[in-house]
Amino acid sequence: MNEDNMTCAEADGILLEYFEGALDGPSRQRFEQHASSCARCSGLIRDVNDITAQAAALPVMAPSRDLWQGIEARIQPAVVSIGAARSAGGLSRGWIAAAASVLIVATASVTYFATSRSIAARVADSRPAVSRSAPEAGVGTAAAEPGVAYAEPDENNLVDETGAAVPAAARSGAGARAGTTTLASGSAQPLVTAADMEYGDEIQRLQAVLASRRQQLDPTTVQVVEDNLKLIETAVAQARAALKGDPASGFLADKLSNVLEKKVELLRTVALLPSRS
Amino acid sequence: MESYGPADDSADVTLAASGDRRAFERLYRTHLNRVFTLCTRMCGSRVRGEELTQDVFVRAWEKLPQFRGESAFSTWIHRVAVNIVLTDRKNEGRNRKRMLQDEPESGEAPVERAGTTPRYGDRMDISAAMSKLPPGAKQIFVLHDVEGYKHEEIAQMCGITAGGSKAQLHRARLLMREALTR
Repeated sequence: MNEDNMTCAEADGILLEYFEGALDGPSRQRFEQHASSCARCSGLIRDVNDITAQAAALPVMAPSRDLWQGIEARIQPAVVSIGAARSAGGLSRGWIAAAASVLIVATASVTYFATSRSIAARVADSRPAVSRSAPEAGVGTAAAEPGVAYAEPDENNLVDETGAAVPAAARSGAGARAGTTTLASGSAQPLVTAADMEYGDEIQRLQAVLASRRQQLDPTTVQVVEDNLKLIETAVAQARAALKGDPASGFLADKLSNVLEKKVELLRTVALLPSRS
Repeated sequence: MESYGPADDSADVTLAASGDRRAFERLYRTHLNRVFTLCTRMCGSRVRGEELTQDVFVRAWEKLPQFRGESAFSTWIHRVAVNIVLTDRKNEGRNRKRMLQDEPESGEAPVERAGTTPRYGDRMDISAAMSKLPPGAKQIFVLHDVEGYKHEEIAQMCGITAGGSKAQLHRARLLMREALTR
């Protein structure tokens, strides 16, 4: 070995620069000279080049299902660029500020009058709430509609645009935050959650796939999957029961969503399992 | 990174940017597989790759009005995909939840479907070895050796130096070799 010869340790030290093409002429020459007579280093270079070539030739993959439905459900109906809106509207900042000021004053005035009138009406009127007519009763200009009862606005109940009572929980928006919708107040109809809407269709589709693939899969695997599904179903039932008692709970809604997501993940995994040989 | 897809999908891009969902769906159909492939290889899971792909197209829809057409739409949406995956990795790192460990997600096959018995030189082997890489090295390997990004581009996207990207790539290749020749 003469002084120009390179050791494997030295070669390792400049391997990165070699692959990046960052070695100067003499260094590259010394490196290649060493590699040409060293089985270890020449094998290393060949393997790395092989890996790089194969990585570049990896095929494009396709998802196992069409993802568009999920995307479409999440995208907003219209996207308007700020630039376009500005040029179309032509409003200056001054005009916007003035309009905002007017809006604030108007809102405050309406709120003041509505509140003071409501308080005055409450003090003056001692009749039961159910015997009163529509919101017009407050101003005394219209008769009550037969057969329709209206609730007095109080801390627990407000009246919506139709005059029907709105529960405090719904008014506070807590139910909306929790993503729950009761189809009919006080009825036996099931609670429909945002999680149901998100995962319901997907679960149905995947369960159909599982049913159709049952014969192709290893029976032990199917048993394990079914045991897991039972556990998940128990958790789903518990979350639903708890959510029924407290529909405004964001925590419970999240729990249900998480469990349903687990179910989807399990079913997807099963859908992709190879058939038994 | 080279662009792909139709030479001119600018008409659909313009329509989609003004709120045309059908035009956006055409863009989705054109670019779906490339985006899905990138997401899946970077995160190492087909299931997660599908979820991230949906996130990419939702983000693209939101950001489309800001797309100025300075690059091809394919390049732009690829960049969106990389950002989504990297952000997801940061979040996952914080939560220590899902995969992105040194092993693929439990119970899930490597991202490329298994064919025959693994043999050095098979694409399946490359995929399996890739899935065993540590997250950082895997992402640099996918971006550089699979997707064809340059170190400078990777450095900008990942918030690291070009030198750091080179070092990670070198480490990834050596780990791949070790896995494949074991």
